[in-house]
Amino acid sequence: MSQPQHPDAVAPERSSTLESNGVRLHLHEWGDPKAAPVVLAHGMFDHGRGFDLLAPYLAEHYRVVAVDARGHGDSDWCDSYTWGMDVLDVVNVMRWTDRPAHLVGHSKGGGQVMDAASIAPDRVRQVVNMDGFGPPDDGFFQRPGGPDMSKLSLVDRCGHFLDRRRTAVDRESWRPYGSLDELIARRGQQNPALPELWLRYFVFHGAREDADGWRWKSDPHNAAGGFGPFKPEWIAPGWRRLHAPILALIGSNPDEWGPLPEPMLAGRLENVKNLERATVQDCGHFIHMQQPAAAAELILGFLER
Amino acid sequence: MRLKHGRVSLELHTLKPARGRPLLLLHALGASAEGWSAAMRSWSHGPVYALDFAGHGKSDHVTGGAYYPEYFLADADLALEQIAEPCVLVGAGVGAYVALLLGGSRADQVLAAMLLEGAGLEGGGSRPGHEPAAEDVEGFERFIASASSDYGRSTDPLVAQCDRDLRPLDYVTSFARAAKPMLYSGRVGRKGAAPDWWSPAFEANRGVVASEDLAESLEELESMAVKQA
Repeated sequence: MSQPQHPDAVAPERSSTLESNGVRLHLHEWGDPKAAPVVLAHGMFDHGRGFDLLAPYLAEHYRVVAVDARGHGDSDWCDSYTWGMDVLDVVNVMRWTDRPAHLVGHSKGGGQVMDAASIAPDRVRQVVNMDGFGPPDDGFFQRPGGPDMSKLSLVDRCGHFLDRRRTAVDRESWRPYGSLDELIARRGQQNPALPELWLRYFVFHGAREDADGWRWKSDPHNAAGGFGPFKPEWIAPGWRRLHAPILALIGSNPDEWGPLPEPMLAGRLENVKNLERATVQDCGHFIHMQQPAAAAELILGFLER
Repeated sequence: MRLKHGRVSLELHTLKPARGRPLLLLHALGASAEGWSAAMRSWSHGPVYALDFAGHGKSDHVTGGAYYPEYFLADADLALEQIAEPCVLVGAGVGAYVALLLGGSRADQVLAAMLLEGAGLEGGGSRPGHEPAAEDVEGFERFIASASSDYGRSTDPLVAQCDRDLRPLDYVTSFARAAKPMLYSGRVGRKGAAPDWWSPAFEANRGVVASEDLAESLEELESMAVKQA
């Protein structure tokens, strides 16, 4: 099958791998290798090629490194996933670039670059968080088709986690789809605001064709989820530790994935000492995919200050 | 016997085959099934099983090193599923914490439990450290290297993360309240402070202090199981 094209997407100029705590991470690079590094971290079930629209703008000034997070894209799958190990991966990418980096993250990757900046302050210059400010205060993004977790007791939610560990993790790979079009349609249901042309490009690079059909490259074990005592109320006090300048970006059009209601978002950010905020017009949660030029203008303006 | 936790293969040792009420042993952080005493192996009321948590003993290491106590909880839950009968638990260190969580989340399958001291009992406290002086990545890596220096040779050093996870009191007591009353080692807190969660869990669980004598405490455990069965 021929590779789908997108008129504004630029494929990475180089690729590399990096071992981080026993996991081989796949890195995509654009721009002058001698320029100051910008490390890009994607969201859950996305991949580094999701930055093919944004990265070319940043690469005019910076060495841009997009990471396929563990269990995503072309990086290794793991037996277990935790937020903390993902954050350490971001830190290890910064170590690999060998000079202080600018961090840009989207969604889950946005929260992770904030935490990477807080545990490795000497390696970070600035941070851009694109709509990655944590789950709502009740802690739940509803799992499609799953029980309404907000109505279950903590102990019952743990029982569900254990049930999933008994069964869901037996899945060795995603079920195959008959064609790339079916996979695109599936992703389109989850992200209806993303244009079909982009979805085709983005899904192609996040999937592979096997003998029995098309599958996501990401590890299906990610879908089994984890369980623990994490509370969204820990986020705001935790960001008190951030010293790097932070640009918080959201899209103007609320959708299923964000942004948080304004009072909640303001509360999350109240302890960030060096904060700028901006709203990108005419987009939802996927700011860098829906409005890459506008996002890049804001990011470059911030990074160049 | 081998258990599958996703792509990780775990070893569930049968230390004593027998008929009767099964005892499942959950070891401390950095230990393994090999470390259990002869007294524990001689449980006279049924078979004795001992699990090697992931990253320990004869079980696989977790690729990528993402260990957390609730992952060990799922390991132990798979052992419960394999044994297929309500069990009595003895947990040491992180195994004690896991036994408490398992007792709450699988209350119908855990008849009684005894919580003993050992590595990984404390965790990283009950509240997050939010101050700027909190540990950075190099501090984390020093912690892993230092904590794991005492572990068994087969242990993945990254399991040390399970001695710095947060254990909020409302979280722990939810499980303690849902679990049947358990036996709590009287030695915990005798030298140095007990973990933050220990006393609140004891209260919420309507716990009982275990006898100092191991043989006696195992008999107490059995009578507790009979009463609660």
